[in-house]
Amino acid sequence: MLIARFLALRLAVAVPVVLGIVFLTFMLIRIGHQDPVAMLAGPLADASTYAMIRKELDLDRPLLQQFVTYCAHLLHGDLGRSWQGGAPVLQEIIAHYPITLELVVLAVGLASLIGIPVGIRAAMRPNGRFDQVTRFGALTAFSIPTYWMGLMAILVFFYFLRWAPPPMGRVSLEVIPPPVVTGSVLIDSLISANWAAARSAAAQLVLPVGCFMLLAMAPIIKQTRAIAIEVFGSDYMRFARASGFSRRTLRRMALRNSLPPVLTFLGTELTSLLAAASLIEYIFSWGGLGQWGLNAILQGDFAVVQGYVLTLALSAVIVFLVVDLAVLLLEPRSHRRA
Amino acid sequence: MRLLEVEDLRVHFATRGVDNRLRVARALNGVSFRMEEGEVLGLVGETGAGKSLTALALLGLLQPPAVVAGGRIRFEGRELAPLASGARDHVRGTRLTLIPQSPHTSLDPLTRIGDQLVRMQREHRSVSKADAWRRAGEMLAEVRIPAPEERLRAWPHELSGGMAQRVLIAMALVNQPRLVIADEPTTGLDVTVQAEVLDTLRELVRAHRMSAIVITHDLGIVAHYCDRLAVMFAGVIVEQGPTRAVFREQRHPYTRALIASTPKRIAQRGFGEVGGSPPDLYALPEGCLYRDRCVRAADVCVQPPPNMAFAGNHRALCHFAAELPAP
Amino acid sequence: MKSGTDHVFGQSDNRQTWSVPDFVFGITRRSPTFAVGASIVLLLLLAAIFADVISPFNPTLAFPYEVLKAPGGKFLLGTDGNGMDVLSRVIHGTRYAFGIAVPAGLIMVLIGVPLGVIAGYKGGIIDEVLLRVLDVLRAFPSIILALAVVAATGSSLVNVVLVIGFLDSPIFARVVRAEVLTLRESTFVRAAIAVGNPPWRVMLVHILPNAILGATAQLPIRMAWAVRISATLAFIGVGVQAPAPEWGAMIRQGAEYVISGEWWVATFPGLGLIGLVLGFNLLGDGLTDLLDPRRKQIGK
Repeated sequence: MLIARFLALRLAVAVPVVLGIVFLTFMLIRIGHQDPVAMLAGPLADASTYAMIRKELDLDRPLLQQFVTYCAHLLHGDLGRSWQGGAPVLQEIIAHYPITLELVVLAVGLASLIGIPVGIRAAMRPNGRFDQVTRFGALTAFSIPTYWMGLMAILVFFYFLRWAPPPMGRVSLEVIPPPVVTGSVLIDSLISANWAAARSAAAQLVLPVGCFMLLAMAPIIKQTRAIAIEVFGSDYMRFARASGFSRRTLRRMALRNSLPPVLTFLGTELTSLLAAASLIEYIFSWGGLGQWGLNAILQGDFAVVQGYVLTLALSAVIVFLVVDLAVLLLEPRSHRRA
Repeated sequence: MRLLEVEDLRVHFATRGVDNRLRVARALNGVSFRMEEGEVLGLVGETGAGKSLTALALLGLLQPPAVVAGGRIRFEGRELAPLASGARDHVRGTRLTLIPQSPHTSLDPLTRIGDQLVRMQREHRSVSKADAWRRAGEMLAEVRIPAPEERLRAWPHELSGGMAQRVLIAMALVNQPRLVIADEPTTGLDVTVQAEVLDTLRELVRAHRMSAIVITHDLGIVAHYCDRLAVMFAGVIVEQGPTRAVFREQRHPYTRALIASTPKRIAQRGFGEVGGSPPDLYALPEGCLYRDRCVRAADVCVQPPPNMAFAGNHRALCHFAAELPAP
Repeated sequence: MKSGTDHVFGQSDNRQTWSVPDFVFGITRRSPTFAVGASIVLLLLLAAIFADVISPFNPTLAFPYEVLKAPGGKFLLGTDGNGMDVLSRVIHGTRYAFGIAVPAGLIMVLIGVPLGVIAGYKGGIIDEVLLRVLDVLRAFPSIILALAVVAATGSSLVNVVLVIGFLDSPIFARVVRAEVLTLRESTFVRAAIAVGNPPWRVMLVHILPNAILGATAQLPIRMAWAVRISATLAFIGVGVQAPAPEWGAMIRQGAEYVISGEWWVATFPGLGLIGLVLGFNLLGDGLTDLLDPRRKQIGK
């Protein structure tokens, strides 16, 4: 009952936001001076060819009308077609999404496993040596451009050390890829007991996940530290210290009380990394959602850009919803608020 | 037996400004007092006088930039460190406990109060969860919380202020300490609830033959609940003694001003001279610290005041403590 | 800690005069982060101003017979695929970085601060709109948005600056708005209203200066973001275009040589980029410490 009402409320708030994003994207790419028709028609086409393509793509009517048509199609699950490959956008999204998700979930998962304890440890002695070192490290990691880190990882681990496989996709060309079930090569090859493919997929994952993890970890450490400092300074932690609790108990109390806000932060982090993934994918030729969307933006493939942005927005809505539900369960106080 | 002995406790705060000059605030300047078993001591003074700081030092909660510049604390014949050491400390939490100031924020918001009472016990001695839970229920009954068994399952945010304060009293007493420090235990509560909570506390302290330090601004509370009284000003205890004796013969001009400023006295005699701000702790003067505000100040006050003793261990830090003003 | 220490820190002692070295040393001691960040930014700013003097070559002068020379000898950091001197190009890259970050930062302040003050103080429709825009931005990753806008509007330097400035001003407005909300409830503002100051006066005289102070620390952090994102755009190919000596564009040029081992083309502009972004970030982080009166440091 409580949860149902909460869900309804959240969705009611999310719908206008998603609609706003869809509208913004729609207008943005159409107002721009990059004309897809010229690209499709080629330099030799005459005016009638232009008009024909324009009509075919539904670009000859006023923008608002086009938008209404697009929304109507959306409601039927029709996201349009890519102008380059001609494949239905929805199908492409379903194919590309798990590839990126695997990368992001692994990176954020590892980054939280390391980042949250480090942040709490740093908060125990603000401005202590551990805090200073991690703070500087996190800021440095935060200042390194994703793509440059990827290039350097390739340079060091592939070119110089020869530890990593060539940065060409998700599985080596020399092994037979497993049949697609979940979309994650690693999981698929494990399911089909294809050990060679599994090993290759794992090896391909190491560098992109490593770079991505470093990128994700910095804000997690910073945020956890800020939250935990607040928790450690709270009256109840002071009372616990005055009561002679052991360090272990104090740390556990701090972790437990930091968790709800940290979790909320992880939600925003996860969604922003879903977008940031495009650069990592670009460097490692990963071929996931991010690379697909990035190419579409660069080439002015309207339907794909819209589909990509819509996917990101919906993912954000779902992630926030899940996080809020988790916080609801962790936080007895929020029951009253909900 | 002597329970607590604080001798010449000095605490400074050292900070550096943007100009890189070290600046030292002398917050406690030689606090000394003793407590016997079963005694209730009231610690009064204006904000910034060092009451809470004294409590923090007793509880080992002082953290940088606080620096202990001298003095010692002996509790049950053992030396206590006033600075936070970080290590587990069985004295704090079992023999010496705290009833904190703000009831609502002092309870762990994500743990049921029964579990908090259990945790308090199991942190310090090995008892089974079931036994600890049973004892938690008994404690809630002792602090007069209705339906204690049900309350054990309540979340802190479900309690009223008075109820939360009772839970905190239960937390402080569950391990049967010898000394309880109540840091402004009733600030923020309704006057009627205040009296109920304090009555409960007094009864329990008496019943279990514990001692207590009550930190407060409220002289009425001291008059009502405390055996002895210590008045703090600018980091020193300027006067201490049995409550009755101090109220009858106020030896220090500051005590006199403080008592004259209670609503009842003002109603009787009108406003007196209590005004003025506390001295600058970064640049404390030599001699008596109260002299800038004192009505009785004279040339001799530039010298450090003597610690004068009177009947019943009544002491005052004043050159003129021996002279009582005409009533 | 409570009453005792609050009181202690409430006192201030301004009787002594201080000297410049004392001040520099004091700030360094109180926030090493700030000192390091400020030094890096200052150093790179000097490099930008005197780029023509300190560069060994013209950054866009190609030596056709010295393509992809390894670091050392005549070309200290080697040459790129066009035979241009990498060191000179990295030095000149600071001009692009500051040339984007400073005006973009200016736009953020000029739009974000008034917007934040009005939204926070007046509330109402402006506040509502600002909050909704922030909601959208939260769900809409800034990189993708910047990319889409620049791809649509064209990749001139001016466009890049405008897009970054506009995209970040609501975020700046949020920081200012939060400051204003706390200030609005503070006693001195209530007192100012109570004695009959008109709203514009309260906003300008009582709230604005304090809100700006609180938001100052945010500026370097947003400028770091501006440097970062403009380089990212150039790297993807929609920002500043090669052969202009812009760091992102240079990394883009060097990316293809990484696998074949000509590492210096991509590595050095990346180091320059990291240096400046880190410098701005450290500066902002340190400013937060310095401006927060509750966080004074211990000294011995």
